[in-house]
Amino acid sequence: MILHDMTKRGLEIKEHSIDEKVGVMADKGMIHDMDGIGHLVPIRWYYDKTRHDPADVTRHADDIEQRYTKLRELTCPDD
Amino acid sequence: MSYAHPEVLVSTQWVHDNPPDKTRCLVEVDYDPVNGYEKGHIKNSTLIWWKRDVNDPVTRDIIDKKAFENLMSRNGISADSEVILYGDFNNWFAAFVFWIFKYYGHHNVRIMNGGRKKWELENREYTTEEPQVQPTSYKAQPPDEGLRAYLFDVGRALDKEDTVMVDVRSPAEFTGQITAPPEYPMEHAQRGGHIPGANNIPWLTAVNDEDGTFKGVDELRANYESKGVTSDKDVICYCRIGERSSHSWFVLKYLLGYPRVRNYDGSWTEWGNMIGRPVEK
Repeated sequence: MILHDMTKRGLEIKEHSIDEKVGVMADKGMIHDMDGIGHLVPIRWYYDKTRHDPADVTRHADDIEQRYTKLRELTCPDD
Repeated sequence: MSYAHPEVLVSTQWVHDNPPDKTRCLVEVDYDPVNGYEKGHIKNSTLIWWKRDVNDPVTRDIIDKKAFENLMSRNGISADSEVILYGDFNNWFAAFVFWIFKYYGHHNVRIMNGGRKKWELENREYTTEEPQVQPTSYKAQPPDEGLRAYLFDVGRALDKEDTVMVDVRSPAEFTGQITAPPEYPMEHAQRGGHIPGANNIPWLTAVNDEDGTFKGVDELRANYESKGVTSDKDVICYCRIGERSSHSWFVLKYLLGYPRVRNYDGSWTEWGNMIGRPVEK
């Protein structure tokens, strides 16, 4: 099962390694911040069907969605 | 045929054979020092960090003369020091700092051809030890504005046949398909495209892909002349924030010897954000 963060589309894959936050193998790319410092960020996660069920993937996707919603609220609040 | 000013380049072997001493300073210039200098650098090289050291901390501008003098002092550089620059990202930021050195009148400055990329490909040694630096008392020259193009200069050049604009960004940025590569989400502009009449000659076409060194003079000349960028014209280079364009500025001015080349460091993040400026796609 593959979870793909589409906000990271276009990033070149720099490495394929465990995302320690979720314990799943992930393709990672690099994003540079305002200071130019590069940070490795997961682009897509590869969930092993023998160890995870679809609910794990959905939960992770919801977490990402909530995080981005919070970020949007900082710059474009609804009220 | 050799470069017009071959003295501005040194090889990795030359740097290996000629370590820093009282009159020679080796400086790594990084965009990303956390993944560069801090992980390892050439022995006895100091660090210039693009964001922290050569940009004004408040206004969008390069550092002023006084700050440049302080930077030189912190790096142990005197007005008569020989300075060798090298860095990450194919020497983009080393070229940007080279441009600033020339802007403030430091003439004895060179670039290590290939930068970190070539040094690493050759499996040469790095250290994480930072050198002890003896501060200097540095007096810079007044800025040489002949090396720099401003918004006004670019606007004025729009309809002039004797001025040629070189957009060194990728074709996708030039056509407006993207406004910044995905790795740099902080550097977008409000509009995509290019300055009307500009020629798209990506910086990458001036380097050998395998090791990041500059191409030979014949290849370089063919690369620019075929697009109408000739030495009898006033040339303005730009990119997104002015660092890749300083790389092409270096090629045109020092490797090909064009007499009149300026770097527009405002670049697309200035032009593409201005109200009312014409944009071509």
